[in-house]
Amino acid sequence: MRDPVAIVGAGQTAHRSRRLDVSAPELIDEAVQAALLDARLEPDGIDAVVVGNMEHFEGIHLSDLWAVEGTGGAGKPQLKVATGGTTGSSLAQAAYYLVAGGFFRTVMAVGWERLSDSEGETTTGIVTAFDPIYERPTLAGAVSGLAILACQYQAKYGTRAEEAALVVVQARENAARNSHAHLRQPVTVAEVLASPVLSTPIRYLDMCPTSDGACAVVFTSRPGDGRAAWVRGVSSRHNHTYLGDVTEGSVSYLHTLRLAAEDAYRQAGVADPRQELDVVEMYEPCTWAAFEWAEALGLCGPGEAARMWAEGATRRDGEIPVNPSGGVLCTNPIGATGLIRVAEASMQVRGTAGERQVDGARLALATGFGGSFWSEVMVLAAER
Amino acid sequence: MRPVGIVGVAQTRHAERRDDVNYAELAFEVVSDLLARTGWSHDRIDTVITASSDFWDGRTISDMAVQDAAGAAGKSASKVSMDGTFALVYAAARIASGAYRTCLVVAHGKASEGNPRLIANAAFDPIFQRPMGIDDHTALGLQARAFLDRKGLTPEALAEAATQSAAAAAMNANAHRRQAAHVLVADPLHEDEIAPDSDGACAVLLADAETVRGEAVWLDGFGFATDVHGLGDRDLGEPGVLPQVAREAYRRAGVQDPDRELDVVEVHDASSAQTLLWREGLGLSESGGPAWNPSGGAMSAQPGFATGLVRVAEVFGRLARGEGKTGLAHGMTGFVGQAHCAWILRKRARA
Repeated sequence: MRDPVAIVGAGQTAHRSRRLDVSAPELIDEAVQAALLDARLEPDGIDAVVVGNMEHFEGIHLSDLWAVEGTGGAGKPQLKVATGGTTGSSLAQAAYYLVAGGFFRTVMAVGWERLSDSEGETTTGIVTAFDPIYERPTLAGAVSGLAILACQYQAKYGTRAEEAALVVVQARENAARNSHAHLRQPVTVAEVLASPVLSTPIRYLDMCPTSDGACAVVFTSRPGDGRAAWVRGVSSRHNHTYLGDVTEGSVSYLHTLRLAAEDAYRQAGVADPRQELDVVEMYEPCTWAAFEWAEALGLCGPGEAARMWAEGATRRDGEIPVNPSGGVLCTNPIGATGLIRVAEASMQVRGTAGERQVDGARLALATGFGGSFWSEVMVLAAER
Repeated sequence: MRPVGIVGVAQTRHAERRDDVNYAELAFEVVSDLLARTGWSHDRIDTVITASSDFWDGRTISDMAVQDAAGAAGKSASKVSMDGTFALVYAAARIASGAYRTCLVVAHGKASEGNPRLIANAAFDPIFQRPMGIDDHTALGLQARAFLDRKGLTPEALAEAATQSAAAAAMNANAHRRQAAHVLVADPLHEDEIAPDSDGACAVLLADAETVRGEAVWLDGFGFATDVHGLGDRDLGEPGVLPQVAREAYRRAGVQDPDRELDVVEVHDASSAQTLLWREGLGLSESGGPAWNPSGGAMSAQPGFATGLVRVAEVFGRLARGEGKTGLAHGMTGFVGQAHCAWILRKRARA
């Protein structure tokens, strides 16, 4: 029923803690030019642009309109989508629907963030998402919400801190092979356990960084002769506004991710995700979340994720590679983060992931996480 | 594109201050009204697209607060951080893709909770422009002067256009402002020649051709585009990218002669100069032609990102009441018309 849509190009900046060498439009242009080159397109080959960025982090109102010279949207249809952590994955979905609906032939999704502009106060920006009277005084941004989730997971399965630490140890090993990644130096379990506690049980090295960076991905209904990543499943689910109302009985279980994944698997004809998926690019904001997300995605049973990581199944050469790019734990320019998952997943099935390529990847999953436990999922395949 | 029809619309009574509700409650009010008017319930709505501004709401991910109000829990929702007419593009695409059959679009604006001039200032270049104190009103003044100069008009033309808008607003029960003082705000614009800052919300329910049956109002074409940012990089006296946007909308809807084929036009005019300039940008003659801003346009109420969606609701209302067959609704985002969006609505039997 839907028109087939493919990804034919992806571009990223070098993601760093501070990109003082470029302005926001220049940073964006870096990703846009790379995506155009990858897609073998000239700027006039892009019919519309979908852009995303979170205004509170940089203190720029209508940042889409300010950055239009960088996005390539000047004189073109440009749509801004901004949904917090999910912004990047929401961009991918919006670009997909604009092409699948026949509105445009080729649409570029462009996401960016310069978190250095918030001078280390990214959490201050995130805190404003919550209800000013009931929630802000007690819920200090993203870290504390994830800490609640991690505590519940820990209580349920008796998972130890050193097991969670393995997630970032493995992520850094992967990031070392990704020249775009922000944090590429290796860490050990001992170093993670020695890093300061941010909010129990999450330590500094358990948590994703804040980065400057941009990402651009080209969606089209006319992919031409080049290698394409076909969009086979698209789904998203949202939860209640107030944290106390979220999910069925427990914050700890990412119900929305399970529902979105089941819907996307159904569209893509995936019956056994662990067996059928070749690679997963997962939006894991902290080490503990990776366990929850893997279980919600059906990559393993409840309480089995820590063992899956410990056994090496999630390594780049393992049974079900998770985040061969290094993931969000190594790179996090918020408005781009979810789009980077889609870009990396598309590169894997197009066979253009270079040093971080998973051999023979044909089917990939990209996820986004944000808001009040929102989940967005996209399944990409080498075959139409 | 696969046909997308409008099931129903609702808008609040727009006001200078709605201290009785927060912005999520304002959205809840308009969604509840829409459900009451259409007889629909949330379980028939597949997906939700909201339009809001994080700066105006003073909350990042401002859509988080609106999602419960829009019945989005457990569904797929997304947010367009532009005027509601742009959100309508995404909503229509979701249905046209075949992935969803029905989509609720909700937009709100609550100017009274912030300082609209200060917020506007934060959209300009932080080094070269913000320190001058430029905001939306001063930018509108520059545009109005450039427009008068290009057309060889005197400021009386602005006053006359504002008077006509006020006369129309006087007949609009939802209007926030029916008259204002003739006090200079940003030369050559006076207070009554600049659209007010309003609290208000609007909701539009879309559905596919299987759901919308019989004679109905359909979304037959759209156009949207974004201009360059710098005020100095644009000729402010010209309608910018609007003619391009209008051509796209007319092409998609098969409109050859807008003066003759359109029965009603509603535009987001942030000043009375824009009332005149957007008319030119849409390719309409200076007189005659379709009914022009019969609600009073944005000069009657300007509730942030709901302003353009209210234009859609107004055009829908007239077509649904049999006052014409074809209408155009216009929305914009940014200052002096950096981004425009236009929709052609047509009342006809199912495609």
